[in-house]
Formats: sequence, structure tokens, C-alpha cells
Amino acid sequence: MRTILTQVSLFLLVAVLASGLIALLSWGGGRLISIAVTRSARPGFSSLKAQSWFLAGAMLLAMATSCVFCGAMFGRPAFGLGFGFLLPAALPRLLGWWHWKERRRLEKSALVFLYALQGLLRAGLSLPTALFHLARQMDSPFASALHSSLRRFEEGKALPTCLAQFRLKSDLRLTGICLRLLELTYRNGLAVVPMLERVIPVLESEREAEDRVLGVRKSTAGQIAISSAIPWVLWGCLSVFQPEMREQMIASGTLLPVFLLALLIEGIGVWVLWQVSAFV
Amino acid sequence: MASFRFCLKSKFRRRDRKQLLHFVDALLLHLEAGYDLAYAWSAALEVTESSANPEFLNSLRPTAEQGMADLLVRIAKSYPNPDHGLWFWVIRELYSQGAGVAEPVRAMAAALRREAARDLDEHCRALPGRLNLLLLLFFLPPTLLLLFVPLLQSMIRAFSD
Repeated sequence: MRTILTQVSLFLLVAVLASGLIALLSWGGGRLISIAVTRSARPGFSSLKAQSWFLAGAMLLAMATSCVFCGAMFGRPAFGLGFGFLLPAALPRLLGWWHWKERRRLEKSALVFLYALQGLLRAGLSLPTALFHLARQMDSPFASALHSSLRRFEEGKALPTCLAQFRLKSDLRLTGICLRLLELTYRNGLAVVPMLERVIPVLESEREAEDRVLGVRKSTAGQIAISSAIPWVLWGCLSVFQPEMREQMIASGTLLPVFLLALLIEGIGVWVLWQVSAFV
Repeated sequence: MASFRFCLKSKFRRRDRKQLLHFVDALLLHLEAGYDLAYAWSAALEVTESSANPEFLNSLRPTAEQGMADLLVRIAKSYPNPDHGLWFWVIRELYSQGAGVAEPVRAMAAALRREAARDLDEHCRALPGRLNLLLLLFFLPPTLLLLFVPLLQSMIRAFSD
């Protein structure tokens, strides 16, 4: 019975380690790709696509790691392949998170772009000229994403069509509504500047509220990280200063069940705290 | 359990309000660009399609051969939040009298935004207390578990020896 319990505990520990590795790799990789995309600003380069490839690589690596772990612990590396069936369950959530990050990055830089557009239109430039000028000159995610969509204008497509394609591709929320309105206004020959004057304050207030919510969630994540580390730091201190207690726990086979129970309570706690701090 | 239900209820209420706010913003921007209410309504529904849930969109969508006035009456009667439903009555009254509807829609958007800001303030005010309680509830037991199990084992061993 004890052997089965130990094996199950080890298996769960491997699962936790593999998930942690995936999360770490995905987060680090996502950041690196995001920085690379912003710096290079290659037209037509889809950050989400690159991140999906990175995620697939990270999953393979995590699966290989869990195979090595399972091989070392149970003498059966094939157990690690089991995670190959479990891990895709996390894929939609991770991709959704990246999609949200990408959208937020675009929406954040859209406000500055619209301010600049308003300025150029007031100076007397036409909408296509102002859009092209900003998309080429501005160093922001929104400008580079728009630039790749506006290339179709040079190939003979109408400006509203290019804007519509960009809006559908980027899946922006309130900024998407503003872009749609920009298309309609331009198509019907109405003045764009008064429309932008009304749109920008709405976007500003929305951005302010979103930043505030994000600030609250970031501070909550910090508190969760520190609080979840405290029990393990204390246990580490105890095992350094009282090594006989640790050896006694290992000998009696209570170490892994206690670890897993602590991890389970912490996991539930992290989920509950994250839900409570959310402001939908 | 009651507190959990309350949390879910407030979550759904916020989600509904956010969807309505996005719709009203889109409607207002179209109205201010000079479009009439019927066109602005369908355009606003179209642009909010990707972000709103289908149930919400269906509640705002006109049925076959239903005019704007009938649609507004239907929404005002059936809208889950009566406070927000009242706005649709106001818009309907002005629309049937031939008056401009941009002003009440702007007022509705401003009221919804203020309501959301108040709600966010309240959430931020109450959050530290809730977090402290939950941190104690979920992170103190693992600490005690990791510290006291080895001590208890030592004590049991000492007594049995």
C-alpha cells in the first residue's frame, strides 16, 4: 500500500514539475518573442503563430523531461508520455492568455496612434496619407500591425477593406469598434476629426479602468507568490537546522503525502484568490 | 455558499454591464457620426458580436418585421437589470416622438461608466480584507503542516521510546 502511495505521489510530483516547467518556458518564451516582434516589426509576421510554435516546443520539452523523470524514478520512461495526453488540455487556456496579451499590447499602443492620427488630420493630411505616414514612422505594435495590413492598399484594395481586414485579424474590442467607425466615416465621406474627438476620451477611460484592474491583479499575484513560498522556505530552514527530522520523514514515507497535501491546499488557495481578485 | 453565489451574481452582473457598455458605446459613436437609430443599432450589434455572448446579443436583436419602437419596448420589459431597462424606455419615448436619441444614449453610456467605476472602487476597497482572510485560510495550514508533522513525529517517537 505504501509503495503504491509513494509511486502515486511521485507521479503527481512529476506532473507538478512538468506543468511548472511548461508555465516557465511559455512565459519566458512569450516574453522573448514579444520583444523580438516589437524590435524587428517584420510586416506579416504573426506573433501569435510564433508563440504557438514555441508552446508546442515547450510541451515537447516538458514531455521529454517527464519521460526522463519517470525513467529515473520508476524505471519506465513511457509513463512520461502520459503527459502528452494531459498537456493539450492546457493549450487553449495558454493560447487564450497569449491572445489576450497580444490584443492588450495592440490596444495599449492604439491610443497614442489615434492621438497622432488626429493631429495629422487636423494639420490637413488626408486619412490614407496620415495612416500610411504613421504606420511607417511610428515604432509601436499597433503601427507595425497596421502597416502590414495597409500594404494591400498599395496592391489596389480599398482603404476601408484594408482596415476591416486588420480589425478582424487583430480582434480588438473597443478599438475595433473605433476602427469600424473610421471605415464607415471614410466610406461615407464624413469628417473623421470630430469622430476621433469623441472616440479618444471613451478609449482613454476604458484604458484607465483596465490599467487599474491589472494593477490590482498584479499586486494580488505578488502576494500569492510570496505567501505560497513562505511554507517551503520555513520547511527548508527546518530541514537545514534539524536534518534528523527530515530524514525521519523520509524514512516513515510521510514526506511526499505531506508535500502533496500542502501543494493541493496552496493550489486551491491560488485559484480562489485569483478568482476573488478578478474584476470582469 | 451564499457568499459564493453572491460572487457569481456580481460577476455576471459586471459581465452584463460591460457588454451593454460596449454596445452603447458603439451605438453612440455611430449615432454621433450621423447615422439613424435603426442603422446604428444593427451596426453596433455587428461590431460587438466578437466580444459579447450570443444570449446578450439575441436579447438586443430585432425579430422579423419588428420595428425599432417595438424592439425597445421588448428590451425595456425583458432586460434582466430593471435599472438599465429603464434607459430603453427613455430612448423609446424620444424615438417615437421624433426627438434625437444621441443625448440619452450618451447619458446612458456615462451612467454605465460611472457605475462601473464605482463598482471598481468598491472592489478595490474590499479586496485587501478579503485577500488577508483567504491568505490566512489557504497558506497558514500548509505552513503548519510542513512544520508540525516532523515535530509531531519526533514527539510520538520520543513518547513511544
